[in-house]
Amino acid sequence: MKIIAVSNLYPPDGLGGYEMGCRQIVTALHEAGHEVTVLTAAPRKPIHADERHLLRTLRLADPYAPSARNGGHPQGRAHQLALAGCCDAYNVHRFVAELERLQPDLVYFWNLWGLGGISLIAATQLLGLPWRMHIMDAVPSQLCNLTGSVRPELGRAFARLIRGRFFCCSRTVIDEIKSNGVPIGPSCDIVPNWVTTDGAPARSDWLIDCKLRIAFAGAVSLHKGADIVIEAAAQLKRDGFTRFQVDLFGPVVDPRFQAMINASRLQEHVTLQGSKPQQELWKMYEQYDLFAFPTLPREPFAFAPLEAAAHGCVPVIPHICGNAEWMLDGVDLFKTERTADGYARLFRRVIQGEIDLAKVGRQAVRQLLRDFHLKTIFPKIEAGLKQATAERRPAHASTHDIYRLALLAERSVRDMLQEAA
Amino acid sequence: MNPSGINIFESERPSLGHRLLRKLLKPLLLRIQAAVDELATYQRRQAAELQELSDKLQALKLEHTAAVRRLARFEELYGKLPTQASDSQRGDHAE
Repeated sequence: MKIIAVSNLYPPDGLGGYEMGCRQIVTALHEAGHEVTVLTAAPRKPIHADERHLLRTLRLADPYAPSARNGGHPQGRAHQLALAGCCDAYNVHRFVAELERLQPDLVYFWNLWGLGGISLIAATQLLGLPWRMHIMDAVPSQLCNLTGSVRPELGRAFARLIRGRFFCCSRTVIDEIKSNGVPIGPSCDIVPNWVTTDGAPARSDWLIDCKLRIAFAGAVSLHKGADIVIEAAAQLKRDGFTRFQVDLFGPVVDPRFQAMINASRLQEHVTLQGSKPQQELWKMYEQYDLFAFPTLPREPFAFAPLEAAAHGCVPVIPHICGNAEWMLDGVDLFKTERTADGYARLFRRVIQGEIDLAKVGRQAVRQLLRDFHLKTIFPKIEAGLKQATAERRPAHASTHDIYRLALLAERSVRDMLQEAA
Repeated sequence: MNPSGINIFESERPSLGHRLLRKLLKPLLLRIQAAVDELATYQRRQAAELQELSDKLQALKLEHTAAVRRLARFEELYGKLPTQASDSQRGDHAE
């Protein structure tokens, strides 16, 4: 197959698992003999070496920038949201030019927020090209969000007019998109996230020297629950436990976490380790017993707990999140309430030997490497893409017409937002 | 404030009738206020309990989904279990 993949960000420029997942699938498609070109936005900081099949020619109306969320004039923010989600004529121009040049069999969309995603989907459909979108976040509802929430008529129109299908990583993310006002359910195929690591199938030791070692990886922030992990450690210490260590890996943007550690006199037990390269982190998981991951209920399906589990570092996740619909409590991970009490209780049970951690750890490794390895998941994605190529239709418009329409749409949206202000 | 717009509790020169009414109504109003407060507390507690039950239900649904998917994967690898109930009895998810 000849494929154009489109993603707002692409490693090394990225925010997390979505872009990493995109690159892993692109690599797998290349290895399977398909011709894939990735179209993405200019990086947010310089990148020295890049892959040959990569075109960083789009522009990003960065919806993740702090100014897009809470700075500047409200009308400026609304215009930014419209460019990010609805229509960006410049990106349509670049996109259709690449489609014309490369003549792909299908377009494989990833995260389109920031690129004027709806206009790229519309352009693809007008050219009669089949498409699939991989969803690891509530992207369709983000695209339809022009004013801080999704207007119901826009959400319904999006769901009615799309002709492609979505690979969704969880029911949780589909439900969130639906509850945001974009009922795409019937167009979704659920495909879980994956690991690419070889894991630690030979791992045999847990709780070495009767010491519990806990890892946390991701943005050290409130939404990932770093505060919950630190507070749980403080509870352990207050309860008189001393043989435990908590290491938090990831960028620390808020000094409050070190302050929390200092205030609870946890310096001996809790350390902010900073960011580590992914492969280094994978190896390090083998030295840890538990992976504390108190993420938010809306978490679609995080990669980090999967990678930790593949190395025998047993995830502890909240009862409610996307990961919880794929893994079994007490079988290949642990689930608990998303509170410091809940996490501390579980840590205590492990330290006191009430839980057979080695048994769960071995099962986690087996499970991940068998059912969640990319080697297992990729054929389903490849089959879905192959199926899509049969959906080609005659073009409804020329590339010139599409660009004119995009210019018209971008101006109309801008005028409407000005009138509404 | 009564329907006529005169606040019988704050009136600068309350008449005898107003004073009598105030004496009669104040304890009643205090009891009503206490009952309203109690009802609000009850509703808050009910809402919290409902939220807790809803969270438990959601957690069970996710665990059930995980189990159904695990079973489906098991069957994909090793074939159907000989003693298991039919899909309809098991309440399989259509996805």
